[in-house]
Amino acid sequence: MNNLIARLRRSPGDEHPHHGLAARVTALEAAVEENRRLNQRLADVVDVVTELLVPALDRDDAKVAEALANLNKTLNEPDTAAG
Amino acid sequence: MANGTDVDIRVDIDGIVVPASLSGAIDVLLDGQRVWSFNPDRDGTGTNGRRTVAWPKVLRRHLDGVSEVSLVDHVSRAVLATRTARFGGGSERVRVVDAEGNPLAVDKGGRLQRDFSNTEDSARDEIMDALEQVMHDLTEKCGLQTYLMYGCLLGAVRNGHMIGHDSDADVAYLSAYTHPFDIIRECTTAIRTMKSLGWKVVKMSGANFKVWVPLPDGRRCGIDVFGSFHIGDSFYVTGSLTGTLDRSALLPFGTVTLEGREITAPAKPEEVLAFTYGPGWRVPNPAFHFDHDPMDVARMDAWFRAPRRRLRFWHDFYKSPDAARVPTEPSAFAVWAHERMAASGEAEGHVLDVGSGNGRDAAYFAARGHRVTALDFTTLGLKQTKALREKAPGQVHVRSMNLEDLRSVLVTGARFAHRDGIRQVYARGLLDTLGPSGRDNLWRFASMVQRRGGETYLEFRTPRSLREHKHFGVHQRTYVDPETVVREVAAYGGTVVHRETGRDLARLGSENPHIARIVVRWTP
Repeated sequence: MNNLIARLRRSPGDEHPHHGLAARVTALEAAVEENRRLNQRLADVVDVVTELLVPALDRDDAKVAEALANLNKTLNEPDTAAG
Repeated sequence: MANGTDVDIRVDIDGIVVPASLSGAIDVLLDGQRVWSFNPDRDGTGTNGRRTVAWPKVLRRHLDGVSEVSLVDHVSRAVLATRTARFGGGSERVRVVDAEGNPLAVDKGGRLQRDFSNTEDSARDEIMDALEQVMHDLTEKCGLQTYLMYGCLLGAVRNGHMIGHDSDADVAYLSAYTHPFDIIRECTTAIRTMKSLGWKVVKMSGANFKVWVPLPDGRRCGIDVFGSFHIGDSFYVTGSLTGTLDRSALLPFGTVTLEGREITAPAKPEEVLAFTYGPGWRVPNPAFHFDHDPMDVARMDAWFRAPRRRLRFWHDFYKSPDAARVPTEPSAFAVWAHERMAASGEAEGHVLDVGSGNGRDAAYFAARGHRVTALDFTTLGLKQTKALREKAPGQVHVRSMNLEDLRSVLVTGARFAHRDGIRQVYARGLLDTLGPSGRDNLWRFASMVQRRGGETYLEFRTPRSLREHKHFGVHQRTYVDPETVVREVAAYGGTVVHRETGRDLARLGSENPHIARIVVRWTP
């Protein structure tokens, strides 16, 4: 991300104008995609923390184990059968 | 060998050649069974008044033997041409069926599926019962505004029946939210609620899921549940439907009649169908494909599908004939890793085979007495080595883990990290298949599960192999610079304790790639 921002901040005059614009659009697209993906990552983290925080603070091991098992159940289990 | 028909066609193993004048949706029947539909204008190639339409890959695999091939106009049902064709060296009739002998057809997603046209009336009732119950639970138990969508809405408005060439029932819900983060959380909660009610649910993306319903005849029907939402001025329906549709086309909900039952539907179904399928939605077209703008697909991919973006590729790979070309004997790297483990007193220690593929190395470690956990996001490939693993003295546990899915990594990693003992992490060829986010998650996982010790064994192709011949031809591959790996590992607190690069380390058929072997420790 830092590299992307550095590339975006670079003065367009440093490069050929058209090449500079194309490179900046490519970098912007990559940055936008990365930001869009943050929604899923953040939602996953919030879900894990929400499910685990209370039993963890309660030091209730059985409930922590149950919460982990429940989180596992909501995972992206692929529709496949193991041999 | 025309059988009294008008249209001049040629059929062989490569495809079907038709006159350029042929247009519209054409059904392909093999010995009377519809197996596929195409549209010559869209799917055909070639000039000089002829168009060649290639067989879909999934169908071509079944083409060995003899069959009467008929082309039928989907709308008028007129038989356009019939030919007896011979494919490959077989002399039996070509059969496009599943393991139980049920007829299959290529669906709009390019997969072989059973479809409603082969569904008995009693099963249709069962599907409708399930659809109503799923819609009831989504509405009442999950609090989602649920309505009939896609093929089911189309069938209901056209003639009150499910569409024969469809293989799934489709419903959607109108999200209460207008930000992807909230929409993902809403969907996660709904999946959890549906599972707690006893439904078999498979998450398909951050904003849609599938409910599998068993049918009395042993088959099962998938009810797809699609999230739909407004963000800014645009209306979106997962998969990738994007455009402008006013909320008044959806709310307040009305009803349509499907198979004799009143089902909740958008306020203006015709507007929703035009939004979904375009102005020609009234004309039946089993060869229909969505022609989404790539920008719209990319947006939905990044919002909701990033964790699954490589899953289908590997799922399909292990279902394809190529899967049989993956060796089942142990790799040279597994032998080398086992010797290193043995030298450090871990000759029978626990090995986590991450990205275990067909399980060839998991079987080897088990044969050497290791306890093994084989982790992969598709466990289909492991069927190939089932017998090998069962014979081995060590136990192999199979678990699903998706390295592109942060939650999967956190939950699976935490469970291993919590257990006592030391375990080795073994990942051969894994970095070749992961993108940067998957690699990031691998370092997170390895550093979690090896917080008490152990080593992470990595073998991968370097960028020097980029343009070289490959055993499996075109494939999804990443070529990571070993320097990048060293840098990323260091950022996660790991230390590289062994590093070598070169050839003759991982020959595969006639391929001899430039390989890096790296061993990492996450403890001092």
